[in-house]
Amino acid sequence: MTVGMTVLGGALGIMVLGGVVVYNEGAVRVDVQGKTPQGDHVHLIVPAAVAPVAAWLIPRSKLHDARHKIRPWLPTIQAASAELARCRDGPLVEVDSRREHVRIYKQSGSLFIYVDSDEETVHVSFPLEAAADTVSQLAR
Amino acid sequence: MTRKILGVMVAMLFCTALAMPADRWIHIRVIESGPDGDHVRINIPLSLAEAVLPTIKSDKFCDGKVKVEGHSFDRVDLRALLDAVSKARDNQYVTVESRDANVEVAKSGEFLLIKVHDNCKGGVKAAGTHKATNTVDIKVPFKVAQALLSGSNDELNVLAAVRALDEYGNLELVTVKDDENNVRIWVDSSNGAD
Repeated sequence: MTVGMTVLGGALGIMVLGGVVVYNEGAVRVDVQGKTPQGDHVHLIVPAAVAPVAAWLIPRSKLHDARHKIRPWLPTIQAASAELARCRDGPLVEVDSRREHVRIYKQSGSLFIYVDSDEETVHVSFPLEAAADTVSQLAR
Repeated sequence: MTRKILGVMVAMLFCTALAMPADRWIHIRVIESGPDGDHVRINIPLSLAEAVLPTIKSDKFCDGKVKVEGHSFDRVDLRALLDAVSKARDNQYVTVESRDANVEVAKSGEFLLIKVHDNCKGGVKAAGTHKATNTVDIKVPFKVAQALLSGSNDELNVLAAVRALDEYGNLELVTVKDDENNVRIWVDSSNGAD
């Protein structure tokens, strides 16, 4: 009974700690909803603190092309992330056309990207401070 | 005594906050006419442009400078021309009037003003011939124009121009109006579109 209570308490403590970390550090969220009958639905939430580690764990062979494409842009991504983290919240890009609507805005330290097109709806958000670290791991 | 010190510290913090310049944003709005026209709104802090431009390295754009090959900037000393006009009195220096377009280049204070009014005949309406007018209005501070030309003869120093732009208050830079598009580019301290 005592051992069980200890394990339960430990598990609850880890969950609370995880919740605190996610709340403080934010999370990377990806939500893709296809609008066609065969459309896919992808829903992903990764704590921002874990994202660079997750990127580090991806085998290099799987990232071959992506690494070469990202590396030249790494300084630009790092500079943009740092500066965006400092600037005020607000809308950055808004595009409305007949076929799609795009919103990119910064709020509470995170960047939100929303795309609504005829084919799918995409929501992506990530804390700006984690962006540069994660991309650096992908480009290593 | 403690209260006095605290009061002085609060006053100093308040004055520092007032003295700190608000961050400047460049806004771009493109609106295509018609029910299916695209609407584009972009709001970028100038500090972001200043941080990012030096990091971009490509064939045509490097270290905040863009190559403009194919232009004969070396045939006309644009820098000397700009410098001379900036020091001259306010005046309308160039006026071109033709059936197709009117072009005016003028100086007003520290700004170079360029206005192009394009007169073109469109379709025929019931009352007569419809005459559409397309207008381009550009207002550029001389310092920004000079910063833009501060690179070598075949390049435009965009980074220097952005830095020079940061010194000015709210500024309407470009306005373009024609039958299909309304384009507006301006700088202010607001972080959202108007």
